[in-house]
Amino acid sequence: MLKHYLATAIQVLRRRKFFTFISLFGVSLTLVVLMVATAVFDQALGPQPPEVHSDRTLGVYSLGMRGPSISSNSDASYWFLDRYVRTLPDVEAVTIFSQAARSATYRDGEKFELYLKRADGAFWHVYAFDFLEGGPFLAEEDANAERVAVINETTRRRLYDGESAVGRVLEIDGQRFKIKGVVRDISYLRQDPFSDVWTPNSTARSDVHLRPAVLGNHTGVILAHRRSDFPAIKRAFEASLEEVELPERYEELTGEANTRFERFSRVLSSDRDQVKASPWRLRIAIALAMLLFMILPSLNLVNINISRILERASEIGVRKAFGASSWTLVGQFVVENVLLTLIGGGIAFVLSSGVLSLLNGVQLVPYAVFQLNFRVFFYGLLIAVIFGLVSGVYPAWKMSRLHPVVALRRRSL
Amino acid sequence: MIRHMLQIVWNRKASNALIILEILVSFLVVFAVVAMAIFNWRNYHRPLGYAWEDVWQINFRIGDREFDAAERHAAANRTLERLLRELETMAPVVRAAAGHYPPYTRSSSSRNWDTSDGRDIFTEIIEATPEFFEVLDIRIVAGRGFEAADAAHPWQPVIVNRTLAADLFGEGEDPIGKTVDLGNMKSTETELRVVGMIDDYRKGGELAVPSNMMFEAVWLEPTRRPLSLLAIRLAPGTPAAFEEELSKRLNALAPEWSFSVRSLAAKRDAYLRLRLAPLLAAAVVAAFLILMVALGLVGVLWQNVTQRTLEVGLRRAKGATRPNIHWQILGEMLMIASLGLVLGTLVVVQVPLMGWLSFLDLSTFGLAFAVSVVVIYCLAAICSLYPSWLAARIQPAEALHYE
Repeated sequence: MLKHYLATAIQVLRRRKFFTFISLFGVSLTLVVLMVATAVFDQALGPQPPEVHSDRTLGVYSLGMRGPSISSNSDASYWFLDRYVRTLPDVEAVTIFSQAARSATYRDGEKFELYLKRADGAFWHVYAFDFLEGGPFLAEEDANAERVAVINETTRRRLYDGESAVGRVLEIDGQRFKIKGVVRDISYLRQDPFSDVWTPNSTARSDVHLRPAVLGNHTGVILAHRRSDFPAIKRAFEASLEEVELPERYEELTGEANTRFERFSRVLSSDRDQVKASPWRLRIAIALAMLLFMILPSLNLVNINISRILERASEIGVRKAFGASSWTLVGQFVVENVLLTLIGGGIAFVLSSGVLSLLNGVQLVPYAVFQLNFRVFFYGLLIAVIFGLVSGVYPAWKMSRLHPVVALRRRSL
Repeated sequence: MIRHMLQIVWNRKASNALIILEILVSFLVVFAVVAMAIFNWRNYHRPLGYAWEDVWQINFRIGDREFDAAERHAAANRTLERLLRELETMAPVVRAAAGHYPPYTRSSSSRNWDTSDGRDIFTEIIEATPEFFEVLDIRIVAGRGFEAADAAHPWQPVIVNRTLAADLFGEGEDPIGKTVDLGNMKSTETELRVVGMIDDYRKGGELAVPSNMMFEAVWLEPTRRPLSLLAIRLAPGTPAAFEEELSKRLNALAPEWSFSVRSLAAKRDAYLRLRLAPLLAAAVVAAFLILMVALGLVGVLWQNVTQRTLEVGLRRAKGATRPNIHWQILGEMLMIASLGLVLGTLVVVQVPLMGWLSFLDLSTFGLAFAVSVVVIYCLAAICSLYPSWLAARIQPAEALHYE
């Protein structure tokens, strides 16, 4: 029976090629956009290596300081994080690192621009880097200000033509470091672990990080034992803000320990400093954007399907006249619609991988490797099937319940 | 005629309602894209106020500012002074300056206060040495630049851009020599006196929304908290290889500081790429959506025409010419489009009424509206071309056979 339906469906799709093309175009376009958007989103926020513990991490990003006529906001300083975040009770680990800063190394008069991040021993515990050779630097090496570094694969290729780099000396930012390990490239969108070269915090060129200050350019990331500890950690952090002594002219310090998603949601924050997370706003905004985006393709699909079904009025009439039940007819239309959607999904799958590999190829974002998210693909397909069913099967069902004579004469719904 | 068209559209309201809805949503999509495009295009063509060619910026890190002891400030400012002097002795360097917030930067410092007559003033603040204007080629259009003699004044000399001058002293008023009304902050803050006016300094780059700007002069006084940036103007055609020499020199001069050199040209490139990529992506997606809608409309109209073979045949038999039929199909589609547009207008008008997207000024809004209406009418007309041609080809005899 199913085989027969499929054969009919293919016949129908082939008979009106233009309509088939429009439906496929709509379904695949919608899915491609959804897939690409999710791939970018996943690359930035999803639980991908090296942020494998992202469900248990909280970060202290920018802080806001306010006075009566003045306000500043910036990332936190090393001193502040060391004193108020590293001391938080009941957490598995805390890592403090600087923002990846653009630095240069020169070889034979040629300039290589590299990102340099200063980090600590715990950094390699919080983030699961994939080492190609050698290993991370240790907490003791940070404590002793040893000039050691970890570099990424691309840097090894650019500077050493891909040959083994461990033990070599890299001169960057006017300092010389002994390379201890080489890791796989980290996407620029994963701002916390991202860099080309990682060296210990203590090797910073000045003792900046030891000076007492609230604002600086470091980030602190807390790895909790379990997610359920989050509220307690957030409370403890916010309580500790009260103790911080502020510079003159400032009266209030605001900051939060946020998950990656909450951190991202700050862009929609209502206050001007944008240090407060508003995850619900972001969720609603994403849902609205997706809904808005899907309205047009759905309307299009509905319109096309309604038009098409009218064309089949006489077919329905004939089949009913020969004894087909309403349910049989509906079953047939379900098969047709699902088949159409699946073909569209297949095309979308190929197209999205094409678009993503194109994006990966042009390296718009350094080291980004966008991947298809199968879960989202499945949901997108499901939505397309639902719209196909609602728009194609509902009118068919209504029509299939008519008396054959009426159906045969009927020209519009 | 119009009434007749409306009647025809109304008779088929069930199937037309969905098409009207589709036109409405398409209109919103087109409007959003066109408004975004016009907004960015206009910003792009606004004067920048500075010249980025042959300018390099040197970021340096010396430490966190706010708790630093007085002697640290003094030492940092001494080093800065020496660096500026040494930089200008290097052959390709035409001029060197120190400041905060170079072009193509998002971070900023701002000030917000109420004047004594209750007006809310917001401005970005940039501290810089007097040479900053020369390095970035920021033209002083009224008054003068900062001068060494200014250092002795008890008041702080400032240079403002046109929009801030208008906000402070009123449109068309000459701001030069006037004191900034700090309202209730007057007692605690240093007096600010305007010595010069610039057209603009659009720090956020070509696509940024213009903002109020105020420059405060800095003379690297020992007590001043240190600036964060050096900017140098180079002789045209300086090779990129100069950077290594520059970098070595800087590291040798201040071994405890950390430097990073970048040309504004490279920054601008990265900035434009980063800002334009999402806009381009949105435009491409919207274009595909509209193409999809267009194909869909052709399909629906085509189906319509086939269904109405009888009706059209009858009209032809009663003496309607081919152009008559053409116009009927086209007119119906345009009527449907108009209904969608009326609804769309009701939706779009909410935006300025509710005060959303306040950065879109009325002329951008109006232009975007007009362009979108034209686009939708063109879309409707193009979509009905083929179906109306099909309809006009129907012969009365063929129609009467149709069943």
